Amino acid sequence: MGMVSSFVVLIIAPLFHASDAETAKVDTIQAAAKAFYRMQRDLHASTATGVYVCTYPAPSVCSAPSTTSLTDAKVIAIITPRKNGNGQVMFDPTGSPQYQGYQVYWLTPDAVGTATLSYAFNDPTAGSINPGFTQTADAAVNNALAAKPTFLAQSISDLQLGNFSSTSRTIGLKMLAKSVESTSQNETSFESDTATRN
Amino acid sequence: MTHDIHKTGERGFAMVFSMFIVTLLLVLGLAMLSVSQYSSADTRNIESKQSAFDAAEAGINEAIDKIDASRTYAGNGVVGVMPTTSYTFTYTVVNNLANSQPTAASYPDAGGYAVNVPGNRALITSTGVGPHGERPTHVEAIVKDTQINVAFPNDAIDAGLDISGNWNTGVGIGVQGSSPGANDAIVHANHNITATIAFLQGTASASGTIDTLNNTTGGINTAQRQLPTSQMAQFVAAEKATVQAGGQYVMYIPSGGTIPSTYTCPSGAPAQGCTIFVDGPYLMSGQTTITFTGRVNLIINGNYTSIGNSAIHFQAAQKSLFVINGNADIGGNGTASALIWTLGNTTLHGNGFQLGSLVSGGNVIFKGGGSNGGFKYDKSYQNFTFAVPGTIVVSTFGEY
Repeated sequence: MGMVSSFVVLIIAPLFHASDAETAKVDTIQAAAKAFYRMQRDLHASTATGVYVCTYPAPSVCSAPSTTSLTDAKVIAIITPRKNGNGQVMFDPTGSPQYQGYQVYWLTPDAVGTATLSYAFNDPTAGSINPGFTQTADAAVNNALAAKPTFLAQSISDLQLGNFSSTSRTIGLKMLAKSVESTSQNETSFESDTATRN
Repeated sequence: MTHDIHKTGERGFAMVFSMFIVTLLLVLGLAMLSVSQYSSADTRNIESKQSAFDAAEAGINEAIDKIDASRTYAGNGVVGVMPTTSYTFTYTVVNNLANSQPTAASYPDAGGYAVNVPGNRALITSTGVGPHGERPTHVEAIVKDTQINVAFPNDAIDAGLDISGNWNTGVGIGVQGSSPGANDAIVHANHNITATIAFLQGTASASGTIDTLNNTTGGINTAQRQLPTSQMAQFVAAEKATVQAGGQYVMYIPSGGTIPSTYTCPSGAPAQGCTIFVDGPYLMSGQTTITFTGRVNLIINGNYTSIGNSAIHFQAAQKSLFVINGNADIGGNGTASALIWTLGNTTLHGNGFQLGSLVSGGNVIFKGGGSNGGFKYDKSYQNFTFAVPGTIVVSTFGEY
């Protein structure tokens, strides 16, 4: 009887752990996938000179992404022509984008060593804005950090932006999500070079 | 006996225990399967969303290609299938390229937003969706034509900077009007005029404070001419692309090549004529003479120099264009008849005779002179414009 029970425990224990590993994997994918796609969507509708890497915590200072490598980004600001950040795309009488504000994404550290990805839209001038001005991005980011955010994903372990090319107008984006279930830990990464088409 | 009783009491336990283990394994297996399904569904959703976006964007690109081929194209609900994923796109074009005024439209898929499509623009909306009705992705683009019109001032000679130097006044050469008594040869410098010539059958003006060809108060501090210098790069790039694409009305000559001594633009050529593109600097010397028949546009992608008795003869009254994407040192027996458009400085040696018009982005320098030289204005270059072909590009892009 004892031998049988030991045998059963030996068989079942890995199965329990396998379930943990699978759950951890699902957690990381779920956390990152939607947020990553959303950020890609915002980059598509942005312009190469309107994407910034910013410092955290506030007061935040923004700078243009690296042209040579992906670098850690606690805060990312993406200029958008969408009204209020999620409405109709706005353009001027010549058909050029009329930027409405910044989509601000940032990581807030959590208790388990990863971070929560938050989002807020902010228009620092209450009107249309122009890309290429870091002061405007600074103002939008600091306003967003002080506002009530929308929580997009948990368990994000890193966010990176860079490899910016002014000729192809592409920007590299990478997101890593890490999850721990019991003794199992999993990390999932998403990475792409996304074209800014405006 | 006792042993037998004990055995009897344990009867069935193995089956119960086995059933418990099997049930436990079954539950665990189902749980793992369920989790795997979630994982699989997540992955599928990501792929689906990306494929839907790719399909929608393919619709935008196909519509742009169609408008590139025909500027009046206006497809409505055009459907296409992505070859590898079987995702479909459906696009609609509201083409307002030919109209300078905005026109009302709506985004049919993205919530039916009302929109004014700007003048000389087109709106493309495209939706990508999977073969099993997956969640669609809507994208839209305002597109424009990059075609530009290069407009030249109505002057005999224009300089973006100074007009300086001297022609040999002893042999009496100067700037003639288009016909005797017309006095329509206008010379303008956006900076100063310090030049000396024998005569000017027209007027001179300078935007600076010196004008040696017009000593009246109205000859200086005049408004600067809008010269098309900033359009040179786009012009040259577009013409190079057109010529390299080939065809019976164009000729591409690589750097170091030679322009044929005669060239006739075939009948049936476009209204703007035939184009010869020399992809580098060019030197004319000795007795070299080039004769063009019909409307021929010659583009030198670099500096141009003519010395000795060399000359380029463009057929008169054809409104040909001679473009130098660099500096021009025009000596020899001159160039006639063309509008000479130079990016940088232009030196006009008075030995050669020029017929046409000159627009120089930099300085114009008069130098030397012989009895047969000088400049004569061709008034057929009044209100002269040249259309540079463009492509359809995205002006504003959005994704819903």
